[in-house]
Amino acid sequence: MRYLLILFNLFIFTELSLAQNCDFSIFGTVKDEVDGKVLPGASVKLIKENQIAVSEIDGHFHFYKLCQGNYNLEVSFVGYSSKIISIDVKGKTDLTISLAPSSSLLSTVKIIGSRVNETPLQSTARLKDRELALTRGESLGESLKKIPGLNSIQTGPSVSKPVIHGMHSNRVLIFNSGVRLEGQQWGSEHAPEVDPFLAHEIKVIKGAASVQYGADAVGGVILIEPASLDYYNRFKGEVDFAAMSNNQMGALSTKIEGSNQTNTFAWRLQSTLKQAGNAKTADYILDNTAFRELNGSLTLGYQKGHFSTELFASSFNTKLGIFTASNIGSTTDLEEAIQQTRPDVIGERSYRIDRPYQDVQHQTVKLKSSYLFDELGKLGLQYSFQRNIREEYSLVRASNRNNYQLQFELNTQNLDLYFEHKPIGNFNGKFGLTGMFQQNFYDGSYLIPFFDSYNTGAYFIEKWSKNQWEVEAGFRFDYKYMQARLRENPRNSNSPIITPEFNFTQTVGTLGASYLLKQGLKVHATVAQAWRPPAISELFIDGIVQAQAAYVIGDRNLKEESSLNLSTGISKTAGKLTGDISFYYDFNQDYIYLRPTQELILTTRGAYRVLRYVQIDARFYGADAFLAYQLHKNLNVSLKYSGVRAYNKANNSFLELIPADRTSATLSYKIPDLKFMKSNLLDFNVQHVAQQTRVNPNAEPLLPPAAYTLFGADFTSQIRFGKRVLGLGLSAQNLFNKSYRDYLNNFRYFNDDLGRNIIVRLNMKF
Amino acid sequence: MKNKFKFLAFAALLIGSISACKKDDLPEVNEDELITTVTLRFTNTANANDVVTVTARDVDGDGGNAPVIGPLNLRPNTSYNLSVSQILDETENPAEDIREEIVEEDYEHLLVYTATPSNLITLNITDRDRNNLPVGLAGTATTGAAGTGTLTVTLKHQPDGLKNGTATPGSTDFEFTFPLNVSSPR
Repeated sequence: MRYLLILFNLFIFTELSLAQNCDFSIFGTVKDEVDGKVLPGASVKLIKENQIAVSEIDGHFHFYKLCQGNYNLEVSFVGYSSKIISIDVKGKTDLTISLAPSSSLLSTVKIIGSRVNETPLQSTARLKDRELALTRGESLGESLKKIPGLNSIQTGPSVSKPVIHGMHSNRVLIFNSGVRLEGQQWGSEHAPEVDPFLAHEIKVIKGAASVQYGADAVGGVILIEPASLDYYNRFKGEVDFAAMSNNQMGALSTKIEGSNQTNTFAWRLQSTLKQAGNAKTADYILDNTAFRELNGSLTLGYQKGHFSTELFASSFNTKLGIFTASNIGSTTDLEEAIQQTRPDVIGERSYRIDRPYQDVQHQTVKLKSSYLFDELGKLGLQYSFQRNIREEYSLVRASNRNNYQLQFELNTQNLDLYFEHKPIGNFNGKFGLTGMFQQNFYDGSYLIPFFDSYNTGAYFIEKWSKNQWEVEAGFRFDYKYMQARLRENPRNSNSPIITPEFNFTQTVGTLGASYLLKQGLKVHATVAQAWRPPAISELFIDGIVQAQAAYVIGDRNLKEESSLNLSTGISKTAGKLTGDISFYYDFNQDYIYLRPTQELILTTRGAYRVLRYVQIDARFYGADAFLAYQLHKNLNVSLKYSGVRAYNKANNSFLELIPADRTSATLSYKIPDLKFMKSNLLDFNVQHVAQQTRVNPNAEPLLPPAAYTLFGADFTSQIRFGKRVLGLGLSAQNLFNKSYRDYLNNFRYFNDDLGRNIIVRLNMKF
Repeated sequence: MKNKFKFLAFAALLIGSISACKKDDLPEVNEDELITTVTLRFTNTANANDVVTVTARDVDGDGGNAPVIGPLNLRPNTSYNLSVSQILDETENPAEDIREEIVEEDYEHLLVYTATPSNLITLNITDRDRNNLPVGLAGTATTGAAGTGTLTVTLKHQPDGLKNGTATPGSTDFEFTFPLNVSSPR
C-alpha cells in the first residue's frame, strides 16, 4: 500500500514536469443556430484527449491548461445535430458554436455527457463501451470483477454475486433501470436477478451511500443503466451474440427501438436468451452446472414540452443447476468431500439440468414521470412493482420428485417523489421522499418467515460548485416497520403463530468535496454514513443452508447496523499517465456477522456446524488502484490492484470470506487499421490472486486455497460489411488451463474453478 | 399537463390493485426427506427368542430437541442377524414408511456401519441391490469381548450412478451414533 502512496504523488509530479507551454485554454458558448438562444447542458468533447465539458446555464464552457496545438472539438446536444470543429490553440481561444436543431431523418443525434448531479462525489467506476462489450454473456458478478475493488462470491459456476470492498448480499444495492432490486438478497447462493445485456453502462459506487440510495447501501451501489430512449430515430436495432467454449454457452440479445414522426413517443423492445451446458475445470466437467435464462423488457416513453414519462416492464427467468457433489452438509460429509481431490461424480457435456436446481423469476414494472418547471426545477415521480419468485429443488428420493423444497415470493412496491431545483447561485440540489412496501411468503420447508414491511424516507442533497471546487452534503431520514408471521417453533404444526414487530429508524449524512488540480486531474474526499436494518434472514433464519454446509441460526434481538465510511482518492483522465487511486476506511458498528461457532447441532443426518448471526464492531479498510500508461502511440500498459482488510475490533480477529489481494496487468496494442477492419485492439492480461492468509484457522473447515495466476487475451475489431459494421470480440480466459480454487467460491471444498474459456462475441447495429 | 394526471391516476390504480393481494395462511409444516426414527433389530443366531431392538428418534426435526438414541445392549462373543426394521418420518400422520422407499430404490442407497472401537462388533452386509452392490438393510453382526463404545449407522443417498459400494459418494440421509454396551446379562 505504501507504493500506492508513492504513485499518488507521482501523478502530480509527472504532470508538473511535463508542463511545457501548456497553459492555453478554450472558452466558448453553445447557441441555437435558429433563434440564438444559449444551450445549457450541451456536451463539448475534446475528441482525442477524451475530455468532456458540459455547457453551463449561460451556455458557457471552458477547457483549461491545454498545450499548444490542434484540437478536434465535438459538440452535441439532445435535439440538435452534433458538430465537429477543428481549432488551433495558441492562446486563449474564444468560440461561439451554433447547433442546428435536428428535424430531418438523416441527422443523427449523439447523447453524450451525463447530468452533473447524478452520482455522488465518492469513488465511482464505470463499465462501458469496449470494457462492457467484453463482458457480454457473463453474469453481473463476473462482469464487475474487471473493476478494482470488486469481486464476486460464487456458488459454483452458475451463481455469482458482486462483492464491493469485501461486502455483498444485503450490503450491496443494485438499481436495475432505476429500480432498487428486491429479491432474496440475503442468500450467498442467490444471484441478482438482472440481465446485464440491458445495460448501456454499469456504474459502481464504492463505499457507503445511504443518503442518495437508501438503507442497505453499506458496501456500495451498482447502477445498471440502459441507454436513454431515442426520440429522434424512427427505427434502429442491435444484435449481440456471445459463445463460450468452456460451458458451450450461447447468448443472443436483441434490441429494437424507434420513435414517432413528431419525436414525442419512443419505444424499445429487448430480449436475451442464454443457454449454457455443464462447465469445465482444467481437467473435469462439473456435473449439473448447466443453466438457461430468458429475459425481456419493454420501454415506452412519451415526452412533450416539459413533461416526460416512461413505462418500463421487464421479466427475468432463469433455471440453474447446482453442482451435484455439493449437495451435502453434515460435518462428516463435508470432511469426506474435503479429503477428495476430485469430486466423485464427473459430468459430461450436456445442457441437462437435474436436481438440485433453482428456478427464479423476477418481474418489474416501473412508471416514471417528470415535469420541468421553468422557474423552479424538475419534479419527478416514480412507481415500481417487483415480484420475485424463487424455487429451490433439492436432490430428493424419487417419491418426492414432483415439487420444490423451498419457495419464496417477495412482492415489492416503491414510490419515489423527488424535486431537483434549478441552480441557485452555485448550488444544485435535490430532495425527495421515498416509500416501500414489501410482502414475503414462503412455501415448502421453513427458512425465513412471512413478513410485511413498510419503509419511508426523506432526503436532501446539495452540491456547491465553483471554479475547481465541488462540495456535496446531504442528509436522510429513514423509518422501517416490519411484522413477521411464523410459528413459534417453525417445524411444529401445533406451535402457536406469533407476529413479532420491529421498528428501525436512522438519520444519516454525507459530506464530500473534490478539487480539480488541473484539467483532468482531480482529488476527492468523502465522509459518508450508511445503515441497514437487520434482514429477515438475520433475524429469523433457522435451518440448514446447503451453500454454507452449516446450520444457520438468526437472532431476533439484532439492532440496526451503521457504518461510517471515509474515502479519498485521486483520478487523472488526461495525459500519458491516467488512473484512479482510492483509499477507504469503514467503521462498522453493530456489523451483523454470521459467526462460525464451535457448536455442533445434532440432526438425524448427523452433526452440522452452527453459524450464528451476531453483532460486532468491525473495521474494513483498503485501497483500489488503476493506472494506465501510454508507452508508445499504439501501446498501452495498465495495472490494477485491490486489497481489503477486515477485522473484528473486539478481539482483532479477522472476518471470514474477505477477498484476497488481487493484482492484474494488461498490455494493449492498437493494431493499425486495415481496409475493412478498424479499431483493432489486442491485449494480454495477467491476474494474480494471493492466498487469503488473514483468517481464523479454527473457523474454516478448510484453509483458503493457494494463490493463483491466470493469463488471458482479448481482441476487438470493427469489421465493415458494406454499410454495416460488425463488432468482433475474441477472448481467452485462463489461457493456460490452470487448475485453481478461489476462496470466495462456496464450492472450493468440492471442485476446482473453471478451466480455459474461449469466447466469441459479435455485435451488429442496424 | 393533462397526460401527467392521467399517468398519476393510472399509477395510483396500479398501487391499489396490487397491494390488495395477501396470503393469510402459513404453509403446512413440511420437511421433505425427513427421517425421524430408525429401529435396528438384532436376533441371536443361536436363540431366536433373544431379540434386541434399539431406536433412534428425533421427531421435531432439525434443531429443537436433540435426537434420543439407544442405547444398544448386546452379549459378548455372540452372532446376531441384523435387520433395519423401521425407517420412518413420524412428523407425518400416519407416519411415512421411508424403509419401503429405500427398498424400492436400494440401488441408490447404502447403509454404513462403523463401530468404535472397531473390535467391539463386526458387521457384514448380506443384502444386495440389482447391481450386486451392498444395501445394508440386512446383515450379520458378531460381537467381540465385553466392552463399551459406539455404533454409527449412516444412510447414504447415492443417486445418478454414484453408488459404488463405498461410503464416500453422495449425501447423508440419516446418521445416528448408538451407544453400544457389549456385556453378559446379569
